Amino acid sequence: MEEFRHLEYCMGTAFQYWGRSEFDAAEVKRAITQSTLVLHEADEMFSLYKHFSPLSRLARGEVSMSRLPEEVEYIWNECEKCEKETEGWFSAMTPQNTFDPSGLVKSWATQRAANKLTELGITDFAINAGGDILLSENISAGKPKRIGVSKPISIASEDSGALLVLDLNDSEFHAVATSGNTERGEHIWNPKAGREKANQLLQVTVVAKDIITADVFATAAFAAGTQADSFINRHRDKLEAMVVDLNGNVFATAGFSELISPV
Amino acid sequence: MRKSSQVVMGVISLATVVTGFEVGANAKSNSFTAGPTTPTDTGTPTSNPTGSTTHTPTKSPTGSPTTTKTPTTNPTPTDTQPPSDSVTKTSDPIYYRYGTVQLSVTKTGSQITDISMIQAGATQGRGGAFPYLIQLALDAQSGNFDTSMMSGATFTTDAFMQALDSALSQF
Repeated sequence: MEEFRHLEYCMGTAFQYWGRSEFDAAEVKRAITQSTLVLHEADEMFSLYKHFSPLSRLARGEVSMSRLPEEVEYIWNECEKCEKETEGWFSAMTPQNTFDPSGLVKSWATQRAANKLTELGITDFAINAGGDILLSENISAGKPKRIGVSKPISIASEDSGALLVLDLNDSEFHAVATSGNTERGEHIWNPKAGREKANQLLQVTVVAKDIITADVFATAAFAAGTQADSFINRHRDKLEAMVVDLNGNVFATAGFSELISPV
Repeated sequence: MRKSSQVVMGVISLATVVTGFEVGANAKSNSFTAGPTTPTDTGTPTSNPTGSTTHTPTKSPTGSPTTTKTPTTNPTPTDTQPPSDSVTKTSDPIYYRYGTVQLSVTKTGSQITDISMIQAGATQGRGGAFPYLIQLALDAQSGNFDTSMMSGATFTTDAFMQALDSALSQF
């Protein structure tokens, strides 16, 4: 079993691949290329930073959804579903009433990139999508299932590093996602407060079975701000979570606390 | 009525979870010596374990790293003489929006034992992330979790990792 690592820049962040495979290096490389292609295709389609992406054209009203690739409508529907599931705390509609699904696209694309890798015969791997982590179903036990959670401060600060380590070895969880303003400033809207940005918490980390659930609920709980704890408690059938408030106090579900392990 | 887990969100003491993961010490120098250390070895805990406020909250995140310190000075890691069987390779200079990054990587056997910035001409404090990224690269190969698998708010990348890849590709 050869260990492999790969770093792919996409969507303005880094996707870090780690895994083990019996394939030779060239085969692994081919599979990873196929997998990263999925990420880039999603970026091409959904980026609002790319002037001529289908989504940018949709946002400008140049084209109707029915004339765009079917993925666009799929994502639209998924975003609506997420909004319902999160009691409205996750929303792809901006305060200007335009469609911005970037809160879903990264984890959706990551899941598809992972599926591609599995399909090509690599089954023991993890992908860190710029801070949100997916573990494959068949990932090796041990160290690969130990995931660090960053302190709620920018990685550019002097005392940045791991706040704690989660050991997912004896759990059913395969994803960890964190939402916060520490890296990119205030970029999450509070969908229930007009034009206000979500800024009542430092950071929310969610552990779930899949990366889409983890990511969407981390974003939603972050947007929920001071209501995050009750929101999280209502959804504990599918996740465990930790919240860091503005004073640096850490709150966690009992299930989350059980996952914490010594660094 | 849910079972006993009705009151589930509780304060957990930071004392039990905060680690001594100190990147800050490294930020002061450009030379990162002596190979694999587990995160707990790297120093005293940076936060006081009182269970209360331990971090200085980043009150006004502007999107760009606020650290003004850029590791641009003293690019000569003279103090640390690498072991004789180690090999050092230098990356291509990577030009990007905020400056130029060039670094060298020292490997002893298959282990990366040192990463030094040769050029880190980032502006507006963006170079502040470099010490973190160096630590990430060093720690990725040791400790009992892989620091490349750390969950956090989505970070933006810059030229650092390209430079690192460039150096590593020369081994």
